[in-house]
Amino acid sequence: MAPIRAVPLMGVDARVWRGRLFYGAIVAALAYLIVVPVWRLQSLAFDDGGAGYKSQFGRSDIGDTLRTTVVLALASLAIAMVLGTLLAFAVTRLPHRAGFLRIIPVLPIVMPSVANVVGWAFLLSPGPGYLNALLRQLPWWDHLDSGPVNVYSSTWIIIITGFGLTSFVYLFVSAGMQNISSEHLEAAQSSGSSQLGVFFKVVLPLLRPSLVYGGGVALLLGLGQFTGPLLLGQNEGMKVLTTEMYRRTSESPVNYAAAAAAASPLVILGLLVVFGQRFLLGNQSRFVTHGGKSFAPVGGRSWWAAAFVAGYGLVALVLPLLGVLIVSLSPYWSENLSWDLFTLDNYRKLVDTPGIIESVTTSVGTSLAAVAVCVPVGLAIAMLVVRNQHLKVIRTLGDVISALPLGIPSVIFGVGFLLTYTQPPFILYGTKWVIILVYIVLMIPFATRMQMTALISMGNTYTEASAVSGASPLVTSLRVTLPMLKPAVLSAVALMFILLTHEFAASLMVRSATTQVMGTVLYDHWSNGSYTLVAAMAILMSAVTTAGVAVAMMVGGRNVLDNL
Amino acid sequence: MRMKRLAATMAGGLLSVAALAGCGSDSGGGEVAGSWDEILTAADKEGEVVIYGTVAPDNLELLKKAFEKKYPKIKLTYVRGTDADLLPKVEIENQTGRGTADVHMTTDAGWIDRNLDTDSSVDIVGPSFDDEAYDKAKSVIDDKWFLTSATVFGMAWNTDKLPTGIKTPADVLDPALAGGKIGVTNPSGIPTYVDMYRQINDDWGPGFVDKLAAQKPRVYDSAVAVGQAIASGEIWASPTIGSTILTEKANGAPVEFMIPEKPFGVPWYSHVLSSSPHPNAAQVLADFLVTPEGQAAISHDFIPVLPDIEGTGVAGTDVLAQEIPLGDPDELSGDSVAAYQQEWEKKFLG
Repeated sequence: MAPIRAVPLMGVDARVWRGRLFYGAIVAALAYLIVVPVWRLQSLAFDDGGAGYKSQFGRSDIGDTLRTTVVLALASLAIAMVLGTLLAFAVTRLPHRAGFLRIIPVLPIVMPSVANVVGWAFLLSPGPGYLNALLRQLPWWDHLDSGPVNVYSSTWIIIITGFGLTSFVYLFVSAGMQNISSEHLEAAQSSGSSQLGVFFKVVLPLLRPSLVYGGGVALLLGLGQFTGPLLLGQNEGMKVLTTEMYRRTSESPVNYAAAAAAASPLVILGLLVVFGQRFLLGNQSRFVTHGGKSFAPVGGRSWWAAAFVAGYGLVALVLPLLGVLIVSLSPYWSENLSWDLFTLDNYRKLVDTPGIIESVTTSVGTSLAAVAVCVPVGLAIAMLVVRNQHLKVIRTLGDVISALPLGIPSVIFGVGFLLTYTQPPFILYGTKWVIILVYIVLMIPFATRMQMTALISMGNTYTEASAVSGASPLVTSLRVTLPMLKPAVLSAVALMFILLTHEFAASLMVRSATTQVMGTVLYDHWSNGSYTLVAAMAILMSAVTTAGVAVAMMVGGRNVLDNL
Repeated sequence: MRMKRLAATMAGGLLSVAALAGCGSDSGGGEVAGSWDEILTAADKEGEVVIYGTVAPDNLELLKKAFEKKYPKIKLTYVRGTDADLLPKVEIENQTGRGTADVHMTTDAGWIDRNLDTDSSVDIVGPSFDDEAYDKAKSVIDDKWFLTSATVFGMAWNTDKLPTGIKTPADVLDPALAGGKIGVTNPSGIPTYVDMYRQINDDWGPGFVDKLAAQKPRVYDSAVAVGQAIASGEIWASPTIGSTILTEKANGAPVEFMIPEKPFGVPWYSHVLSSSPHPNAAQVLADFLVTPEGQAAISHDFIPVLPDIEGTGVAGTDVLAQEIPLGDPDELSGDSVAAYQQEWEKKFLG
């Protein structure tokens, strides 16, 4: 009997060890990519008796910088939470004929944040801003020669940042909203509750987990905001921790230690949120949502919902896009518009100006390369976390490490990568490799989480049913698991492509003078004041992303963005 | 089985990465050839040269056209940025040995001084440096740094917004221009501006900079951005360099520029980098910069290093770049610049 029992045990042991080795290697590689740059950067801040901290936190304006960072994060979070939640609710109440509007809340994600920010500058710059020029036609403002709105003020930077975060909050909240059974809402309504009553007494309490999680992520994104403060804030001296990091790396010689010190509060907060989230959520298999009964999305006949969603689309997407479009068709940016002046010269300049076409190919190439790595690695980590609970240590490490980039602002990874890859053993400065590597790091949480969510919500019942019906593990994988994951993978690919072709903060740190992506080239032209070219570039960036989404829709169906 | 599929998918992903990225970098260049003719031949073979410069983008574009016309086998790539953008990049390239730039232009006297004793530059060897009109003794430092151009700071304004114009720098202190109608350049990372603010604080009237700060001006990252902001009417006036304004004026923008009684000038010096990936083409470009064709491009609307070059110079002055001294490096040390920067930020952004 003994030899007969020993064979399967050895087989199990070998399988477990193969799993340990395979997943261990992936987690080790991720740890090197994700943890080492941040660790090296942070340890620099402590060198020479904490010289980095003395340099950064000894500055006379550090109090203002910290205060501005917190105020920007909290105030933009408040805007995003209110708008994101209302949008998610409004989308569930859309009349059937206005159902197409449900795509609107995620569309601002397709517009690059740099394009959005410059779009608002073109509209609301106190001097030549188009909306300001219109507002100055009103009788009570016709005496003004500039304003009334100042897009460079902290108030407006907060509002624009809040709009930018709204789509992210919406994604989390609408996911939670879809899990609210229509029976709850119908029961409340048939008991005489108004729509407002339903929202405050039923929807909001049920959404609490989504709101807490989405709010946490949006808070971290707010604390790590870089684009708005950098592009708009410099005019009036707005400083946040991320822009301070950028300034310290723009000094000669580069002051990595001070940049690292500026990053420390954000790293600590990020770690707290990532570990806190893990502690609070615990065993994720508790969140299986596929049940025996279907959960049909609730419908509605509320035209106020259609008006609200359309209004949001107008303000968050159409207006900034219009601002960018008008400047891109003008010979120079001026409040005085005339049909005679419209020209396509700026689009011709896109082709003639050195570096712009190269930046498009670099952006698309590095983004696709990073996505090609992230999908399989994300799937491996998702499988490790969901289906390999016996590998406790590796599983926990994989889970936490893959979540870290969501908690730590991308600008910190940018500086960490600049430091790490300009020194032995891997000197990658000036190559596209360093951009691909930092993109992989930034996207790993999305690749992992989206596939993990799909695996968790599938539960084991489908694979067990397949096995009970006599299918082998291979057949189950091919005919059950992978087809069910396909929408999640395609959505992940679409989201990663969108986010990467927009990527700006980390790219700005790791780019070299001739290896640039679209966002960094746009920023350089913005700094040089080539506003018309910036506008044409912003349209080009949006077009590239839209083309990517169109391809994803052709492959994955029209609901690819819905699955976000 | 699932493991094998995962491994295969990952391998596929990684292969795609290599294919999609088409990665590679500039490898370090070879040696500088012996005679000038050999250098020219070697430069043609290298076929490419990269210059980093803080001069206006339009001038770099002119330089590209003029250089490629004379040397059609060598493609010139330029990167325009402020010293804050470019100096860290030059340092990193030198530190890693992974050079992208071949030639670099700067106005930062402190940085030039700190780099004189390092191995970051190589000797220039072109024949044009020996041209009598160039005056090598006055124009070249340590056989490495060569005078390339110069600019002058004055007052610029938008003629639509200020039809009466500006006669003296004190005109921008008019209370009607307070609250964001004046633009200034942030000296952060650009020591030349530290030098400029220190200088005009005495030359343009007692306490001029303090009074300027009290006007609550709008702050920009570069003189080029200031020029565009004046052209668009975002700001009405600014103490800035003339060249970008004159370029905008030539494009039809409603702008004007005047040189005050005591203008502040600053010279550009260039050097060939030791991390240059195209060392021969770098020497050819360095040489070209001080030829009449090169000056007509790089010093268009700027102050040239050679006399009688059409299209160069700024109206109101006929000086050559050799007459504009480089700043005092002792006053532009890292600590001194950082201290002034903090002081400036308190005044202008506090």
